[in-house]
Amino acid sequence: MTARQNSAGTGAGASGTYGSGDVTIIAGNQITGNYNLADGVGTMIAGVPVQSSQAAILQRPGADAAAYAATLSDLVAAVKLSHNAKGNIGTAPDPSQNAIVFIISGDIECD
Amino acid sequence: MTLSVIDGTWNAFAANDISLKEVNNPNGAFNTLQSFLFNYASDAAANFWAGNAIELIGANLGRLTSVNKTPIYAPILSLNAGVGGIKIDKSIILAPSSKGSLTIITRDGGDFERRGRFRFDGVERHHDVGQRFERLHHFLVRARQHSPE
Repeated sequence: MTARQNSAGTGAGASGTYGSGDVTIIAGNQITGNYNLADGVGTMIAGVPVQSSQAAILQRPGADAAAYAATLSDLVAAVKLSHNAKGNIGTAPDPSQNAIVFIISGDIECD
Repeated sequence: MTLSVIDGTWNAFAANDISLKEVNNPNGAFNTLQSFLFNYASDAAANFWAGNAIELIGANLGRLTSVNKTPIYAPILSLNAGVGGIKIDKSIILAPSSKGSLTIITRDGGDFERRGRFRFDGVERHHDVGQRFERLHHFLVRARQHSPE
């Protein structure tokens, strides 16, 4: 799964909290977009699979704070051991945009 | 990817790469009526861990005016990357704070490449060993600020 928000992150708008509260974003592969944190803890984890039992805990952070923290901790530990090449946060600049283009009026002769 | 923060901490972990335009403060970056009204908390922080590389791009910031072009990050910034290293494309300012700190670590021989400058508390501080760090296994910069909050 890839988390994607806000038209590939090209605009100034951002998802997240605009008052007290935490933001948690976890994706099996890539996370893109713009995110806001007003007053709390923001957590992003990209490149680790989340089990159904873990998702159930994370979706109810107030139900069991200890289980929530332990689950997040487990996922952080897992992502540090992961070698998922798709586990990226953001998008790297496109090097082709920096390519030098020669426009030549006339002939090109090669030996 | 852009992260905004007022009061709090971003902790981001990626199995592979992190490519970030900037960490900003919405009021400071986007307030078109009064520029530079940064309201970062003194302990606002952004911590990044990447299995491979971290790049702080600092371009195409989506500003609404021609001012505030230089990224002004939260007072506390931590970067920890693997063999792909850390690349800083543009100058960065950390918002002044008595609690501010900068931590940069590359693991497994990752390079640290800095094209811009870091600025703390209005005083530029250049790294002593030049603009490019070759194959540093554990490089750590920690700068403490001592300005009043």
